Amino acid sequence: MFRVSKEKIDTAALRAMVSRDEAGAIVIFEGVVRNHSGDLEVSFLEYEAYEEMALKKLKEVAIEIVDGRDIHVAIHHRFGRLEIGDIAVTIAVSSPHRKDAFHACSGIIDRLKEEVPIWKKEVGVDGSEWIGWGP
Amino acid sequence: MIDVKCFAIVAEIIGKDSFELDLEVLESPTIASLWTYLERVYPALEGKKKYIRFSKNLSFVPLDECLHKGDEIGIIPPVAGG
Repeated sequence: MFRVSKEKIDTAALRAMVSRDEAGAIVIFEGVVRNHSGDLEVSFLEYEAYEEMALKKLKEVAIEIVDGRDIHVAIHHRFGRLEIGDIAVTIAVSSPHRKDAFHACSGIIDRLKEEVPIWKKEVGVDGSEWIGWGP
Repeated sequence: MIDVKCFAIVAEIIGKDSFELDLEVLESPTIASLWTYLERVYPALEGKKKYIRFSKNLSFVPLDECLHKGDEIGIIPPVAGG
């Protein structure tokens, strides 16, 4: 299951989607909004998504990382306004053995940060800034 | 016409998140010409090409990619998901 939406992320539901009798390992990654960026205090984050392409890229990244192995993946990335402590993304991965699950989960979040068209604007007390845009 | 989608900082600079463009206004029907056009119309974009990637019909494409009527082009500033 792959989803890019404004709705709150239900990690338990994603876990249930990858849970199965063959899986001896389930690895879950939650990306959470933190209260600082470097030395700057963050009040909240505004996420924006190219919804159609983000969904397509999530699927492509998962398929490439799984690479035909017995690994199941569910991902939900949220966008819109997110408060400190909110979950921005959950990646749930299951596999027969732990190594594959850890490796796939870590690989997916790394690739997601490089390739999936989602942006965040940090809004703090001293103004706001889109992440990654040079001076 | 092509459909140009803009996001995040680029949408802020351009002042809208999408617009239609006649390929005739470009020197050649390529991503590179589209960017040259955008830099001319929106000077705040000048020198920012190094930060930008482009998509055509939901896939990343290089600067020399050809454009055709009906294409959906995404101007993709640095992504920051997760």
